[in-house]
Amino acid sequence: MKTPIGLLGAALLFWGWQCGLLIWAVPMAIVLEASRFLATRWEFSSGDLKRIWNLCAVLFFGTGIVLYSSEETVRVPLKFTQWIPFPFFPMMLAQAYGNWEKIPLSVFSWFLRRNPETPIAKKTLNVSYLYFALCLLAASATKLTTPLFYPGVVLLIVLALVANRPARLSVSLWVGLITIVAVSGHFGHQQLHMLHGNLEGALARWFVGLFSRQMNMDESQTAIGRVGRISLSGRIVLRLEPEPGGSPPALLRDGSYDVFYRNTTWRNSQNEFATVFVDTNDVATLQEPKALNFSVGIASYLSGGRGELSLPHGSYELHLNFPVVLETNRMGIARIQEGPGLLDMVAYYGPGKSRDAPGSTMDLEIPKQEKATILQIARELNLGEEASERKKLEKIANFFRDHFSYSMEITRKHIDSSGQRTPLGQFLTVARSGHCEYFATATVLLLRQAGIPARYATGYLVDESERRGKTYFVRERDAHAWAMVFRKEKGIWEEFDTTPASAEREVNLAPSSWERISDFFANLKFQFAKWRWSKTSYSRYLSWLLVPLVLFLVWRILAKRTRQRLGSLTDSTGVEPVWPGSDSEFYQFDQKMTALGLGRLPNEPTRYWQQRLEFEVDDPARLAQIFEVHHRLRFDPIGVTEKDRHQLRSSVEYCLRQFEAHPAIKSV
Amino acid sequence: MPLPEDGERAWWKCFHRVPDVETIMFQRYLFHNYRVFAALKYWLKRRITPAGWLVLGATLAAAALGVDTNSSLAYQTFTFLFCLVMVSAILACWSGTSKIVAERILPRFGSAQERLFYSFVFRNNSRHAQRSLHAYEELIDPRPTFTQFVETAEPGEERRNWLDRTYHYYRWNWLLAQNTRAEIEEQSLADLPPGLDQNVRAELLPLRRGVLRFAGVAIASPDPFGLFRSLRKIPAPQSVLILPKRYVIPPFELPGTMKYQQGGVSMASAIGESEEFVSLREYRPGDPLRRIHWKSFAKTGKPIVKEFQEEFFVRHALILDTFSAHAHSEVFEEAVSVAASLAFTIQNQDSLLDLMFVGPQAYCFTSGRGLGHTEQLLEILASVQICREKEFETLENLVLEHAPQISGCICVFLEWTERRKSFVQSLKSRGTPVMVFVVTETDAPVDPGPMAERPENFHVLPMEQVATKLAAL
Repeated sequence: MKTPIGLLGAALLFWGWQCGLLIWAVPMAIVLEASRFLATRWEFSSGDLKRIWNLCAVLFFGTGIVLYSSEETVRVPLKFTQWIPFPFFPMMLAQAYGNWEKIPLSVFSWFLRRNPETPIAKKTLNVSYLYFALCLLAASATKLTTPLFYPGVVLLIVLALVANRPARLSVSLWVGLITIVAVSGHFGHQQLHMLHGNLEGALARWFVGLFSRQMNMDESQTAIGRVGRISLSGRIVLRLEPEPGGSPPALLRDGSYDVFYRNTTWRNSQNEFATVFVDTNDVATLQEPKALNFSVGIASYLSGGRGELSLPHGSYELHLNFPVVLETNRMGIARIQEGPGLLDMVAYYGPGKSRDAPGSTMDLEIPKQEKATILQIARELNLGEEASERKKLEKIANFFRDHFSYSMEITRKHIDSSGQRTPLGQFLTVARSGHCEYFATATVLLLRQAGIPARYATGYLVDESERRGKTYFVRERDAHAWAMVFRKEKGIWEEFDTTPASAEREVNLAPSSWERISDFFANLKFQFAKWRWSKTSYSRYLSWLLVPLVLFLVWRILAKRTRQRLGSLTDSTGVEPVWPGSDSEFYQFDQKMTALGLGRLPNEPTRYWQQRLEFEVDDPARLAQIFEVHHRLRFDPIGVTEKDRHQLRSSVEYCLRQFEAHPAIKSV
Repeated sequence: MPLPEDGERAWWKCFHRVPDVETIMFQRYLFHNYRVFAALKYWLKRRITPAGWLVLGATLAAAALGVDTNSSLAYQTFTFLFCLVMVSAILACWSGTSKIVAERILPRFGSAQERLFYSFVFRNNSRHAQRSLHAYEELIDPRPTFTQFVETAEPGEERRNWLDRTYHYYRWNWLLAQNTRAEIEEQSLADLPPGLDQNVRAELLPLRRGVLRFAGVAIASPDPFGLFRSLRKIPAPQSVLILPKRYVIPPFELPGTMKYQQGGVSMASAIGESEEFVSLREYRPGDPLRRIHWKSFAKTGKPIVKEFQEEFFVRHALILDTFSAHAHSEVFEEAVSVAASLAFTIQNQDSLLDLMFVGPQAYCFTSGRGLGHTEQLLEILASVQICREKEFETLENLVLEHAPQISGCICVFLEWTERRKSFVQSLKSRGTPVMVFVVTETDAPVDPGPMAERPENFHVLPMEQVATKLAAL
């Protein structure tokens, strides 16, 4: 079952045109189609085919690795499909230029090679139609919307089907049927596209409706009022590397909020993000450089290349490892919209102004439910009488330090059974213990009561004990919340953390024995991701790594043939034999015997000739030896020994002498 | 597990674990699943062409690639292929071959592993010519029965891993292969003009001896795009006996001498009185009444009987060992082939041959010198099965009962156990020359035991070398 002339070439050209690989597709199509006009064929053994298949497999996986390391993960499957005719081209060539009409299935499978007696191992496969299908699928994996794509696909498939058309149907009926199929397919794909659009929209709406609360990036759902122990894992989420001799920032912020509602949730009143310019060196400038500055390397994973950045307060410049689309909002939060899987950057920061918008009336709002309790505490602290901002801050800090304790366990005493007080009110008046979200929320509201604009901030606390060499690990359990306070006299926002240190927190945050093992694997993954998303164009070098492997496989395919050729060139006769045994002395014998009139008759088997000659010679054993050794030399894959060859020469000489000396022959 | 000796068989059965209800239920569940999947595979294999498989695969691949219609154009390829598949599948429901009749013309016998040629006569009774048709032979369902599935272990199954031994997947495949009695390629038919007969030469390769049963013929017609086929089954139940595979054995000298044969030539000849009259003598107790010479009886008043020339000729016994611990054994199949080859060779000589073996009961078939023909022996050997119900003693008794008439004994054994050695020894002690063939799985050396004195009459035939060893006899 050969493909019609030009079908594979047309499929390759169509693929090249669709995928922008025409420069490759044209020579590939020419080489493939030229095989129909060339009579020369390579003699491949099944071992050669196996090695060619191995080469295809190496190219296949190599293509996958190169694409995975150089392309965005989401684009890899489609891009990979576009490239698929490349790796399988050697196999297609082997069938086109080789001596095999069809390739045995055992070539493709190690299992079948191990079990050659299974029925499936004896079957063969014509790879040309399979390659044709691969070319069409590869051409289909593009986004290039063109009205010629569908007609092109239909035409190519129809050409392939024509060759397979059963004779029991008339041509006109067949054309009518294929037209119906093509028209149905045309309307079908239009409807499918529309259906997909509608379905996607409906699904998105349903999904957003179902998970709106959890997925809304404008909100931070706290654990205030939730009874039970707060438990967080030791998974490493950030790796910090401060400048030599420096220390890391104490807090890394990834969220800021100004509205507290429903007694549990912080959200943003406005959350519009604006794109930040990132220059060609992948440097993003968030604000003007500062005179006193520090720098810290921060590495974090971005799921799907998107996510909020955890940055030290006052960050003004980011040196990124990858081209990204960076956005910030008025709360000073930066997020990546399109970026790498691992973001490895150096953040420059310093005291003073930040990108946070100045305090507004929203930063002084206190929810009605909390108003009474906050007012009561503010009165207890005489915050209203204090004129100085600094004094107010001190009083609030002292209040929490002296009268509160840190607790990860929220019990029934944190809930007012009468339902009159909110969980925060209960925390401030009765329980007086809680985790960082209680402290941060209460601090923000107390500051607002004192007339100081404040915001709720979330992020991570950098633990000094988590230093490993130059790197500080920030784990999931280091998640923290604190207050941001606006210093009116300076016109800047400052971090204000009132959560007291406590032995319980230290115990709770102690690493488990398994953490070292998980850290080891996390570090391995991190090193690979760092290499994978590094700025170097290593994918290019990776491709070069494949070159020696490919060359080795090609050498293995050709080496046997080359060795055979070299071996035959060193033969003593100096004549290059065309096939094994073609330099046999038997042919000299044949020529001489023909000259003596006892030559082999046309189509006479050698055995019959031998029997005929035996009547003319005194020593039939020597004659038999000529035929026997020559037969082995010619057809036995093991060949003959040097001793046998010597005997062949001497027997030929002996017999020729005898024949020449024969009186009857002499007379002839 | 080591195989039990003959005498130990009953003891071994006592320890054989009886499967519990859950195991049987699980095996039944597996069995039904395998049956359904085997049927589905068979159905798909015959109805979908290679081009159809390629288009179906491409449709699935295009569907996977084109899930997101915004990121690739594969959905356009998918819709075209999908429409193509649907139209093909619908059109494949109509075959248009309902008026074709077929008749199969089979020979009486075939031989295992040798191509069997036969013919078909197809007649197109419709008003239109039929083109691009194919014919498939429909053999009887090769799927094993539940009893076979549960009781017949695949050779070497004990070496498989726990999962394979539990799920019996390989056992199922092996049983399916064992029950598939012939390899038959699909037959491409030339154009069938309306109202005319067409002779088609067909061939098949019988894989195993026994009765090869045909259920019918299926006529396949492709859809307009050549992706699917519609099948119409024409019932044509027939059978052909496949004789055992035979090896070439050169003429060889059989042990033994001529012996007196009770009944003489009349026993050895199927028809007619060919015995030679010698004399009259007085009646002796035991003489058959049909030999009384009534005229002399009347003259003398004493019973006188006719005496005939006593017949002496060679009568050999071919003893086939059918006792194996397994329900199926390749060694046994080779042994049957060896027996068939010997029977075929010995019949060329002028002698009688008794084929003795034990199946559901002990059998002794005699052939030669007009009593029976080689074909009949081969027919019997084509149907001989392993005996697991009886003990080796049954065969021993059968042979020893016939030993006085036997000139020589040719034994084909499946193993060379002490029991078999003592049997051979007892034959030898009665003066019966014995020639022994032992078919073995490997070419490991075997102790000749009682045959050590006559090594030329003791032949070990490793399974891979049976042909060469027999050719060198």
